[in-house]
Amino acid sequence: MPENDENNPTETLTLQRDYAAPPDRVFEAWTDPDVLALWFGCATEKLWQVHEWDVRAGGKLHVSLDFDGVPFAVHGEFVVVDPPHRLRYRWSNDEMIEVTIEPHGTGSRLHLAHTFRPGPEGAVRTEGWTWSLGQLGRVRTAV
Amino acid sequence: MPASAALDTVFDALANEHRREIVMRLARGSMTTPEIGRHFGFTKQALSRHVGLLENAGLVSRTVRGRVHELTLVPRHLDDVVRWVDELRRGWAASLDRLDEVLNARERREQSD
Repeated sequence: MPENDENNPTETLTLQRDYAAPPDRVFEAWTDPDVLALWFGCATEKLWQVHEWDVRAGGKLHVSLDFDGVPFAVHGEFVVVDPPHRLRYRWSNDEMIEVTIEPHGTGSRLHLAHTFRPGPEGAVRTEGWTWSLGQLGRVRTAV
Repeated sequence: MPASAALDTVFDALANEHRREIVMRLARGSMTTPEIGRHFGFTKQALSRHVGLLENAGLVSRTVRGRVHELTLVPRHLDDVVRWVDELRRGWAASLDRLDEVLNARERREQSD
């Protein structure tokens, strides 16, 4: 399971959003499979079909979609379930998704961290991906 | 979204600080393998491993000039990585926007009940 340590470097995508709804409603939208199925997608217009979404520590998840004609499924497992503030789940073998929800005014602020593709070797700093993506952008401009 | 096996190889190749530095350095121009070894202070073994992984991922190409091998950056696969992460980001952004609509619609429905 990816963790940010020297032997298991990770790369993380982070996003933040503010919602008018209070934290418990936002949390419910992540944990109630019927609500989840209304918005949880992959590419811009592709929604996941939710087959299993057992929201408790150790509970399994299984979602699938048709990706340009190719069936694609993801299996994973919930690691941390702390309503209504924190949800952490394994997404396929080597990705991890962490959702934190905090009160913000009368609504909520959501932080999402999607950690993916840890390399097989050590010696990459935690901020490695941010660094490399920024650098890659510059490399592409230069080449 | 499905990541191709080729993309996995590229991610693995880039998941190392030294190899990213080689990529950054090659972006400024081609280098021979001894130059890279001296520049980064690699042992012969480390040099060969790093270059081999970058080459295997298609990130660099090797031209043999007499006794030295010259390495050149092949940027095409860097585009694949940038595109993959960009797609992931856009997918999440679209989902989180839809979540906003779903939450608002639920709120409106409850108010009208």
